[in-house]
Amino acid sequence: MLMALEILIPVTVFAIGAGIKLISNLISTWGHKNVTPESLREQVELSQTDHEKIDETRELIRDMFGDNVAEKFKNASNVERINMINEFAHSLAKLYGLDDVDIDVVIDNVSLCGYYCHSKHQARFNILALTNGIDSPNYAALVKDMLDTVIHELRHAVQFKTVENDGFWNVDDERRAAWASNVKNYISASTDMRGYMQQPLEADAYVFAGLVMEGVI
Amino acid sequence: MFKRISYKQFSEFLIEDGYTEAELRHLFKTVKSFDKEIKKWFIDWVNGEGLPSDEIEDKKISFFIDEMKLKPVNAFIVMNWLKTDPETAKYVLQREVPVLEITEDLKNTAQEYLDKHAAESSAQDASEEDMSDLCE
Repeated sequence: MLMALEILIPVTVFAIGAGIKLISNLISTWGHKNVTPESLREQVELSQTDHEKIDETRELIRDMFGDNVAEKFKNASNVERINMINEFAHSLAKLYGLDDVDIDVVIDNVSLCGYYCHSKHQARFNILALTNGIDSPNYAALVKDMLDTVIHELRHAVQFKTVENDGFWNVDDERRAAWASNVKNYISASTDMRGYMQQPLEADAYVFAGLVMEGVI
Repeated sequence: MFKRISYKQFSEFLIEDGYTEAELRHLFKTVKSFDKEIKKWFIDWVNGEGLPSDEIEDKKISFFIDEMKLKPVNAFIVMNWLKTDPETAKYVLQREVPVLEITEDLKNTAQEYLDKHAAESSAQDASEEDMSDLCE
């Protein structure tokens, strides 16, 4: 169900409308980089629970979308696309034990591809790329990126829930402390793209989501 | 022409980009750790010699500023990243960046956790930071 739109704080690194063209440009220049780099993986230590959830998420994707995920989105109407991402995000939230996260799925030129605010327990996903990029030769990459974004943002919800709730996902104290510390000195992508990606909260979310998607698309 | 740039010069040069003090300190340390070639480009740029036209991984810095709308310092960071860890840089740059909102409530929650567990903060004490000049 479409919710009312809000104008969000302009913290995007680049305009959402230009995003599809830029991504296609970079994929054309460098080839599609769809395997989580080793240097990024090495930064993140995942627990047994994390690996179990990665496997369960892959299974969820296969159950929901079948073997050809990109084709399913390509052939769908916009309403169907919204419903698919909405259902995926809600199913994932349930799988991850996040029963208090409100999820919005929108199509617009303003919202970011993915947004999470823990204070409001709100996640929002903008699937404009899945509607505008149908003719792109990199459509599968756009679909993959969208599912990755949903997993990425809900992983943030998991991170903060572990800080609030001892024992959630069996995350050890060292990681919880690293995530809590990172909140205090969080680096935005608009300030420092590399610093953003390397910090504990983001490196963990990138690796977790990336490992799910490697097994799927 | 300056071959050394102090933190004061650095922060005054970037005053119009709207960075907070914490961001400026972070960026200063980051630029100081750049690859030698990229550091020289940065110093040349601060000295008014314009942006470099060299490519790294088939991209010029102007692409990241003009097309991707990155602030110039962030674009230098990306060029340095492409030079020193190209696979990770390309992997991340090919994705739209999802946003995590850091609210005061969240910071308070985090601080409560850290206080409760007497955990060492990873936030560096400002007095321990190396703020010596950036030089080639």
